[in-house]
Amino acid sequence: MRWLTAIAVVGVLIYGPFQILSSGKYGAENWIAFVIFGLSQGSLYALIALGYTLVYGILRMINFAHGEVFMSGAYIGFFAADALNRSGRLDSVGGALFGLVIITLVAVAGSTTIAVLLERIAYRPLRRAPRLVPLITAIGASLFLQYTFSGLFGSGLRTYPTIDLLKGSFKLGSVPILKVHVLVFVAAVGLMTLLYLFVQRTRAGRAMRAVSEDKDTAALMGINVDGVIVQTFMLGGALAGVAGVLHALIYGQVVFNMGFQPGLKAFTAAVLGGIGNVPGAMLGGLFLGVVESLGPALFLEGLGIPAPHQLKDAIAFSLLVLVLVFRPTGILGERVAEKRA
Amino acid sequence: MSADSVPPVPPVPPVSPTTPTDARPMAILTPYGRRGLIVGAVIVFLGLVGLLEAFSTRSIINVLRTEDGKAVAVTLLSLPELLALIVAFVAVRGLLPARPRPLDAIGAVGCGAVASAVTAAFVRLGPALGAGGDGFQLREVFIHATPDLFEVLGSFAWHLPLAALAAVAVTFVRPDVRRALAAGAIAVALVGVLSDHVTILLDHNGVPRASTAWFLRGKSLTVAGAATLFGCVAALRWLGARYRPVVDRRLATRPAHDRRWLRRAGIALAGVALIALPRFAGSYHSEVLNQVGLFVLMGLGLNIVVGFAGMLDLGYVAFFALGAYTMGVLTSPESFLAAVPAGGGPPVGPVGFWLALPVCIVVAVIAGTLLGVPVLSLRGDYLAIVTLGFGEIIRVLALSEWLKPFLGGSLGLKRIPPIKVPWLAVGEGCAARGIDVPLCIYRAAIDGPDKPQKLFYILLAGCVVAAFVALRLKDSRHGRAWMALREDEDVAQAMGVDLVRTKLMAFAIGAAFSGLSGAIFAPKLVSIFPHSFNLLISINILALIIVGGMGSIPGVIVGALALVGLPELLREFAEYRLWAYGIVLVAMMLYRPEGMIPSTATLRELRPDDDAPAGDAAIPSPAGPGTVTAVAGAEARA
Repeated sequence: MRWLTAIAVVGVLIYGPFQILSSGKYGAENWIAFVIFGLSQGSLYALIALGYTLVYGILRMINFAHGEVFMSGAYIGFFAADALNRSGRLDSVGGALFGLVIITLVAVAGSTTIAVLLERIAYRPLRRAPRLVPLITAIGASLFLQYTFSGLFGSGLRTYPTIDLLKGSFKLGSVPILKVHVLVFVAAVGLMTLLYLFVQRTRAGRAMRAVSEDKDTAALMGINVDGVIVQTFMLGGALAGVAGVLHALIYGQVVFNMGFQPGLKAFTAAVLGGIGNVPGAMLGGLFLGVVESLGPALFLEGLGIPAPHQLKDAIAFSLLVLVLVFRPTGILGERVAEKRA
Repeated sequence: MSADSVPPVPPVPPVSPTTPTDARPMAILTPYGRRGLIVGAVIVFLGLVGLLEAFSTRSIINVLRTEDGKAVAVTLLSLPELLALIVAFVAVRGLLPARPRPLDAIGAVGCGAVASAVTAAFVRLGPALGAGGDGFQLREVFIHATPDLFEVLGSFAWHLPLAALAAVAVTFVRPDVRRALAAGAIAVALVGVLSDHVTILLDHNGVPRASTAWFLRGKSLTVAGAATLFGCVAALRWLGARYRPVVDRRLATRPAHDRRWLRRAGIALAGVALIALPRFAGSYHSEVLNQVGLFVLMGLGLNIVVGFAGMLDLGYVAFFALGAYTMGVLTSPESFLAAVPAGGGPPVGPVGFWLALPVCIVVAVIAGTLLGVPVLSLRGDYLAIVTLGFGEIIRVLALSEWLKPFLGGSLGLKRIPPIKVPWLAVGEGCAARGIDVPLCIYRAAIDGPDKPQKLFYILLAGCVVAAFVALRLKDSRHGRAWMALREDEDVAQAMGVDLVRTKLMAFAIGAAFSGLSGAIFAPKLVSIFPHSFNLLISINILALIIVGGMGSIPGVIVGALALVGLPELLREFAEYRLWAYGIVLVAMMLYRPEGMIPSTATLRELRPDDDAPAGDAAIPSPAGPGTVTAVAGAEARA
């Protein structure tokens, strides 16, 4: 049964690309453009996915509300951006750079606060509860945050000010690359490297890994477990805040329910890479971004499906199901999806 | 209780601010002050979210005042004020020890005063912030910081110490009386808030307004009405609690034969009441009941998957969608299967509702099994996310251009014919021949061809069947296997439970109920769109199961009434519905994970040393952790 499915899936995966590649509808620069778009989208997924992975690694729970932490960063950053824009400080090059830093700091402050409050109010009292209990709490917190933002700030779209510095594109060979995409990719990769170094090289990172391994033993070794958990939520919240601002720079708008889809995708990315594993989340995010961007044209169009880009979410979730069925460990991870209550 | 049988979710006892030996005034008063700040902030937050403003037209109790020589009904207690008072009451109650000292009383009132001061400060400073010329505008950030909000908040800003006083007073009342008072207060609040619906219902049943004017005036209760309602409900609750054990003891001495007959009579009575319900409810309220019925049906199904078998399924809406779309494709004259009938005329769907119904259920069951296979080995949270992804895939597919020829894409399927019920047609036939049929069930049919009352009977039949199946399954071999699975998969397997079969069966039966619900939903709405089947429906169902009590069948009904019926009646609430669900989910998990009507097994599991009946746990115990059981015990004896 399992193998039949595998063969069928592989067959479809070969037939589609064969058809589309032999039809010659897309040239090399199209494919490169798809990949670049996928990488920038994927690096956002990766930044959010790190939040899931860090929390999962330590608490073995899915912080379902993490997508909303991401949204809150983007939303709170909006107010800073709006204020800066009105005072005309985003027009000059220096002002724009300074403005970006300020917006990011405000967004990070907001999302980190919300992540920490979430941990303190909703998750900490439930640390010893059965597994479903914190998950349901997280779903509740996610709804609460979404509709609190909708209630406080309105349910309509809010448009981010455009920053002239980031407008336009430059050519790499014959392929145009948007400046925003480069910024997003570079920022994301830089942050992920920093995070990796933090987790691997610093004392706090070592404490984090110890707690992830075994909370009780870590506590006996003199590690403040609650403190480490708060730190983890702070880190995840901060990365999600940055991701929020970057997302808003690409798409130019924020809305109260913008966190849901990216949150779900980022979770998929974390599972793809192997949840609980920091480099895995990065890899999974980039991989998912590229697959989502390439997939509709590469796999579906060859099968004669009209408007395949509508189905990119379906591709992402099918990928999730396939990974969980055939390789629950993800690309780099340990086997945690099953049999570890 | 041994050390390792710690309850999995400690019911988070309210932290007692001081130990009895610590009598320094500041140490006692400071926590109250801090709590006051929080209460003030929460009330301002509720205002900024827009809830208070949205509810500002709901009045609960009014009084007559003479203005310009005319008697005008003026609100004495409005819903926003009630909400604020409840927040203050609960917050103070959480801090008060079981035996408050004089300082506690002062602290409590101080807490109310601090909260009032915060609210009043916001009312004073808020408009000033908004009027800052071309500079910062509060309203551009917080869209609900309108003059209306400041007016609403200002109208009760200084009333909060009253709630604190009430909280202190309540600690001196005996627990049984306290519970009776709570029941009375809840009844007054509910009837007051929903008084426009009470008026509609009274009008529908031909009760002249003049005869109820002493009770309901305008859109809220009169003082006399509120007092009467409060007194009656409180007295009934008290008498009920007082004499229930006596009656139970009497009953226990009767022979089993008598008891069985008594139960059957009770069920028959409930059945008659349910059948007569739409007759008295009118078409709008029948529509609300139908909505509740759909969710009860889905809730019963999800309850099997989540409540019995412990598998968190967040993609449950997928089966609902499958049922609805199958029904649409099979019966709509616009579906790709529709054909011109042999005698000519407009095209019709291939089959009617009753032939399509089993197909819908079978499709849902197959989908449930197919989904079940790949996720068999997944547990808990992974299962939740995969099922969620599955639900999204179904929605994306229904929306896609690819399947548009079959499912209609974003335009959906339209003109799904209404349900024809054979036995209601008999009623219509009798009426046409001038034969008087006294039963309300026929009357409902006579009222018109598409009345929601008709649909009510179909949903009622569906719910009764589903509840019966769920009830019988619960204590069957399968039910016990599910519960074993929920408790511990490995142990269950070691005990000989066939994991694959048991899990697939839960998925399949759950899917069947949801498919049935979807099949009824499609003709109810006439048109179905992919947007009707989003994740929020799954979450809605999950929330109602959790509120009612996981694994409890009466809980599903109570949950559906509270989370689907109540918001339908409170129209202004629509915008805050999901916000409130969020709070409800978190609060339930933190304070009452077993739900409002817990199943006995869950209760035993979550509160191992607590033998008190379910109602007792609802009273927030003001004492510290050590005294929780003692208080519960005392309450049980009282």
